[in-house]
Amino acid sequence: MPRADAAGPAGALLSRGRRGARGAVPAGFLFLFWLLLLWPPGTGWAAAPAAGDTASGPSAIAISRGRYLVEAGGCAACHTDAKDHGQPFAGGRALKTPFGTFYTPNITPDRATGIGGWSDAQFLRALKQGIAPDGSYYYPAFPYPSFTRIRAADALDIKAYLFSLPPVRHENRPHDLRFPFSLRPLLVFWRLLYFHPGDFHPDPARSAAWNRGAYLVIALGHCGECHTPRTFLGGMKPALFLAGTNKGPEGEIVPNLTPDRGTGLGDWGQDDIVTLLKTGMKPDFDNVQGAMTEVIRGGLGQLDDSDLAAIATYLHALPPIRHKVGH
Amino acid sequence: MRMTYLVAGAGMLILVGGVAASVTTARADDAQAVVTKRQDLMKTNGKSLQAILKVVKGQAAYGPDTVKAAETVLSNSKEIPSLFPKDSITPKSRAKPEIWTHWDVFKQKDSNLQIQAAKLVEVAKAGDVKAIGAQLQVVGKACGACHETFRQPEKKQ
Ligand code: HEC
Ligand code: HEC
Ligand code: HEC
Repeated sequence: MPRADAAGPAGALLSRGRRGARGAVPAGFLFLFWLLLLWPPGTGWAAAPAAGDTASGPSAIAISRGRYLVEAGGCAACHTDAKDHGQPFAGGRALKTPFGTFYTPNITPDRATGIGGWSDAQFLRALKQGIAPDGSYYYPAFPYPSFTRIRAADALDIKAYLFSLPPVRHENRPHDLRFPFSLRPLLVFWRLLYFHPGDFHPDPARSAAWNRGAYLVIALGHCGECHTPRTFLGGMKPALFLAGTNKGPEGEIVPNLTPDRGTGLGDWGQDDIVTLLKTGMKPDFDNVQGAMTEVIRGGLGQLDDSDLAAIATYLHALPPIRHKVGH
Repeated sequence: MRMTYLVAGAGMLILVGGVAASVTTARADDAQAVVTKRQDLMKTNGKSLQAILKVVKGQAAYGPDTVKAAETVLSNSKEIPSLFPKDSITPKSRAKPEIWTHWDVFKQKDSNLQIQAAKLVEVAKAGDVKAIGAQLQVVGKACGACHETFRQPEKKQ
């Protein structure tokens, strides 16, 4: 999934001097102070619970759970260079953005070129904090601002599944980003403004289906990464969560998923949403193209009906937001 | 005198330019006309299938309209290739240029729709709602298969 927006943030932030980011600067410094105090990369609570890492290795159940979660997370779509018939999860897929081209890394368990040497803690830190084993920051083209809400146990099942795959030797290709977006350390500013690490907190007042749907949408499915409009600094606008944008990946129009009648999914039945997530077919027998097709093919379409229904339940219960996208 | 020639010359140029421009806009208008026509036809396809879906879901009664809707899709499907004259792409169109570089494949996707739509007409006439529902899915896939290859994702102009 090419995701212009996701990379946008870093880039936009770096060039913020010109427009009204003045307020953001002092705020940024305050945050920076807080960060240096409490949250040096690699220490503090970032050092995730080192569960697992046992000699016996993960169980078959963990692996099969992980496989399912990988489908829900759409990892294969981004980490496979399908265009050039690359091996699954061996990376190399180009994600074109206005700031340059990202090439996804190899996440097969190859020790030399993949993540075969990673500990559980390192894997958790990558997914939940967006920090690499060497302490550097990942670009938000890797949707860790959503993945941070993945439960640690689920993340470890994902790792178990990835590590059960055949290792593929495939060198990572360096990103091809324009200066100054190529400077990773500058991501610290973007993170201060827009990255809110933390777990998913179920709402006990809601049904189990709602909570399951919320988890799938917010954390694993990272639907908001495409379906939420972003500020000029590239952060998601929380007030317009899932309300759609005309500036999606590669300029695609990404529809409003809130149940507003007229601009959103207000007229869609629950079964209509399930059908779309499974097959890409809309209630009017039109079908989706582009990024959403990849999301569905990349795993969403394989999820159990009960999970797709849970997603529909959650989407239907969102506050309707009147927000027109498209023509 | 020279000045007059110059002015006259410039006037001619403007005139010629204007004519040329109006020729190209006329062509663009033609292209847009065919684009609008096929988009309308496609929308009618969608509406017809939607009407049949209502019957399958029990939200509408089975009747002669069900057959008519299927017949509309069938007759429309035969018109599709003629609505895609070479390189008829306008800013409002989501057609991909690959349609004309892979015309055989495009035609084949359309023949597949014709075959499946003909079957839909048959089951619609027979009136078994379950069979109609099953064939409806097949037809929907035949529509989608062409869009997947030959239609762009929607972008903001
Ligand atoms: C939208 C595309 C996208 C999706 C979806 C995605 N990733 Fe990634 N991932 C990336 C990019 C891009 C990077 C590299 C980021 C960087 O270099 O800063 C990355 C980096 C990683 C890394 C770090 C690898 C390394 O060598 O440092 C891991 C681990 C990873 N992803 C795992 C996953 C898992 C597991 C999933 C599914 C739950 C997933 N990714 C889904 C784009 C994606
Ligand atoms: C990589 C970007 C991306 C991600 C991630 C993504 N979507 Fe989409 N989605 C799109 C785009 C683009 C469209 C419009 C496709 C079209 O109409 O051709 C779309 C369309 C849809 C539609 C159809 C809405 C309509 O009005 O036609 C639904 C429903 C939907 N997405 C739900 C989801 C859910 C649920 C998730 C998370 C599990 C999700 N999407 C994740 C990009 C994305
Ligand atoms: C042989 C290829 C092909 C087949 C078969 C096909 N379509 Fe299309 N369809 C297209 C193309 C190409 C476009 C984009 C046209 C444009 O924008 O110029 C399109 C556009 C559409 C649109 C959007 C119209 C608009 O307002 O922009 C709808 C809805 C649609 N098709 C529905 C259907 C349905 C329903 C079927 C099956 C009954 C179907 N199509 C079969 C190729 C096809």
